[in-house]
Amino acid sequence: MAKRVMTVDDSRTMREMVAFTLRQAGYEVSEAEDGVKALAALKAAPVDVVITDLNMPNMDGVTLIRQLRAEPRYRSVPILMLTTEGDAAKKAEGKGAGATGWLVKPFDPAKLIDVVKRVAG
Amino acid sequence: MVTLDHLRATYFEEAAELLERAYAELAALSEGRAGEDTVHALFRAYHSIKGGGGAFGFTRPVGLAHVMETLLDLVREDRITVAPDLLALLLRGTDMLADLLAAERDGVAATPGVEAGILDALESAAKIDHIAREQAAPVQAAAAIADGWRIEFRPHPGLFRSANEPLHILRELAGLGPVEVVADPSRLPGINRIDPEEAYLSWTVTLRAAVARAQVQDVFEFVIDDCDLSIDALDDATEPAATMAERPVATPTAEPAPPDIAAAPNASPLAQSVRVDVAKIDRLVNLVGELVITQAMLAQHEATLPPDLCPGLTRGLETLSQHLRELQDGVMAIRTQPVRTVFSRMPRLVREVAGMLGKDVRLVVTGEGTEIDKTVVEQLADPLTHLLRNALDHGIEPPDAREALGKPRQGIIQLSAEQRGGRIIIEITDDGRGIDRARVLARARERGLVSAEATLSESEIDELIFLPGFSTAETVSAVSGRGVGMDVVRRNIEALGGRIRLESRLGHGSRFTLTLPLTLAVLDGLVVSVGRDAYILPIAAIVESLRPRREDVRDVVGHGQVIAIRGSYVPLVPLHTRFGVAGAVNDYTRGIVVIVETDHSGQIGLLVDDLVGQQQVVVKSLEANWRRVDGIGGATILGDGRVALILDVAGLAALPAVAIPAAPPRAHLHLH
Amino acid sequence: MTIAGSGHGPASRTQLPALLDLEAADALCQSLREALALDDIEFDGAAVERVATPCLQLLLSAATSAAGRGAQFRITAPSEALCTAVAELGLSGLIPLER
Repeated sequence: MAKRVMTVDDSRTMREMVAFTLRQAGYEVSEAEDGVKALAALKAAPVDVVITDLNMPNMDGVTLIRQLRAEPRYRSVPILMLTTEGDAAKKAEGKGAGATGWLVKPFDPAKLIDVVKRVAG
Repeated sequence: MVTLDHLRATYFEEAAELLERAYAELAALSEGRAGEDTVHALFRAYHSIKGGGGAFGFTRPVGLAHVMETLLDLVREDRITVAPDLLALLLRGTDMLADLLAAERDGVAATPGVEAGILDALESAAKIDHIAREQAAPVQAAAAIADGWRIEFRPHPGLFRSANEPLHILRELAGLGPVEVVADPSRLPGINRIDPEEAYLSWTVTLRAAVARAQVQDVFEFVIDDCDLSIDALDDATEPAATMAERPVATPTAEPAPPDIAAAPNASPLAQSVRVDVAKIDRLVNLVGELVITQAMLAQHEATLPPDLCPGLTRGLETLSQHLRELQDGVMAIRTQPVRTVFSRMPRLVREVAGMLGKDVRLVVTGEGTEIDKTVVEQLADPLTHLLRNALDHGIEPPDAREALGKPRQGIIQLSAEQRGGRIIIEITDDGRGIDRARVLARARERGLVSAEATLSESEIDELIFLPGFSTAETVSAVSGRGVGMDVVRRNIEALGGRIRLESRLGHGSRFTLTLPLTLAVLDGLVVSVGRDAYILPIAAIVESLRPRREDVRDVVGHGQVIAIRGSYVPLVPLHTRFGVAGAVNDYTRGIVVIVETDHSGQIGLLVDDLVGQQQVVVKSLEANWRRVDGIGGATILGDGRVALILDVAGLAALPAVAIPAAPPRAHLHLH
Repeated sequence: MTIAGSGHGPASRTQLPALLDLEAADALCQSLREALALDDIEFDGAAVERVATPCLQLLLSAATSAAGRGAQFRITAPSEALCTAVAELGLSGLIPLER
């Protein structure tokens, strides 16, 4: 069965890039544009990997990670943060909230696939 | 299937939206309307432009967005305060970003170094000599390659809390080459004391593959802070002391099965909106149009039946008609777009033009959310640009002149949109000098547009500026003197089925009012008959209809006939002579005259045989189906299947009073 | 998970669940503690589909504890997924799998 990935980003470009890359690699990808929508959707339909931006309106990435880790079903689901180089503090914060790993924007598609494979097994 | 081109297109679309957003937030900041999220939203706009652009290798816009993002981050952390000069800088930066993005989109190289000045200014505002361009600390050893590696991996107890999984890490290592994995359970407590969620095991992995150290390090990228790790080249590693569990394991060579490619992709329960090709919507619009026609046909057949023959059918048709109306509204709504997309370009225009002219102007935009047909929105850019340039150039006075007049130094231009009934009203109002009618009239006489002895009313004089060949600019300036006159603006607006009107008070300012249809695809029309033909008159243009008495009509030498209506004379245009229709009513006392309002020719009276009825018609382009005909705005299909031409009243008024021989041959006209 | 079995005699035998991931660790730990308090343990590993390190740690801990008390600990009919995971983590000699 195809592994399910959700990409959470307020940038449509970013979501589409992630989705496009991962679909080509055979993953099933759903999208959400902020933390609130992601959380609702993730509670309704579980996924195997979550990839989230950190800077988003409504609910930012770190809060989303924290909220997901509080859900029993998402305690061991890998969560990747999409960060930019300058985001060291944010990255640390995300890591502290329970993020599994990170990916620096702009990412190389092959790297994205590698990283998802690394955390999803 | 999504392609890279599609992704690129998405990026530019989104970048345009983000820029709009940035401009809006900057405006909010400068007007003191900033909310809690304003700076965050600005930050995110530059951040997203940067993030997406990097993926396509757009280094220049990305570089600029990066600096702006950094600056906003400092603002966000209250390390820099937003002062007017900083805002001006951000605006300039955003303008430049828009230019750089446009260059990338159009595949033309922006002038090298064009952004250097703004970059310097932004960087010094951020009080940084060089925005840290993150360089991965060069780890010399990273590139080292050995015949193999001995890896000691000792997770900290909390490793599992971030959902990292040693199994996956060891699996990835095995992907680099043959491995021997030895587990060390020495820290593992007994079952009664164990915490099921802590990590106790550690591993020694011998990787027999000539790979770079960096490749091995990469595998541990996410857990480097959650474990003790040592990676040593095999050749200088001492043979490991036999541990209690020394037992090389033949690692399964089979890669974990890739996710099933055939499985249904794209299953997104989240989609709040979908992107649809405009062509698909237009097809839908067309189909609904066909339905409307079919419904009209059914209604016509039904009308010929005896009234009580089938009451159920009558009721059903009524319901059908009502639902069809709603369906049509719904489909049309898909085509609409907020005018924001075109309004948002105007602040920059005003800034730049005001700068060039040395004028101080504030643009106040309202009603950006007003929705209108997408085609109309797209075609509004040119007329609006022209009208704004015009207001800046000819309307608003220079600051000193304003002060001398007792006006505030800063002029105000208002750009507003609102929906009134089935029309959209767009107004451009300035508080500048207004129209100097004496000068306009003098200019028009000079150009021979008006005879020396003619006396004109104020509104007639205002109309003069819309005449081809009229230009009031004393000097042709770089701003508005581009050879495009107000006549072109009017033509553009009329081509959209709209009207433009000017009101002005000398010394106080001018207001241009654009009245536009909500949609171009459907029209409320009056069906009139001329001979055996039917024509459609747009309801919006109709003033009244009447049956003239003999004494109401007079011949004016060289001007055809006029009809007297309450003391004023209106030119009479018999449609049958205009379009060369045989067998029509020739005697105006037996026909009907429909008085219509045109924008620049006042009222005209159209002589027709009879009024057939009012109905909503689906507009089909005549140009697309046949060719352009003056005085005809399009065509439609009536309920009985006949093709009817839709009259363009402005075009009719401008035509010479002679028959047009080339009325479309109906038999060969197939509309689709 | 409930453990069926009596205090003595034949080993208590129970089925390992399909998912042995982090969420299952707590329940597995409880079951193992209860089972070990009884007698020899025999697990049927045929149903296991997904395994994560936390649960394998528990199985190893239970096996070690059982050995310390001289009790038997066996996993019979291990599934492919279980065998692979045990091998990949270098635990083949430590967790007794009986194919």
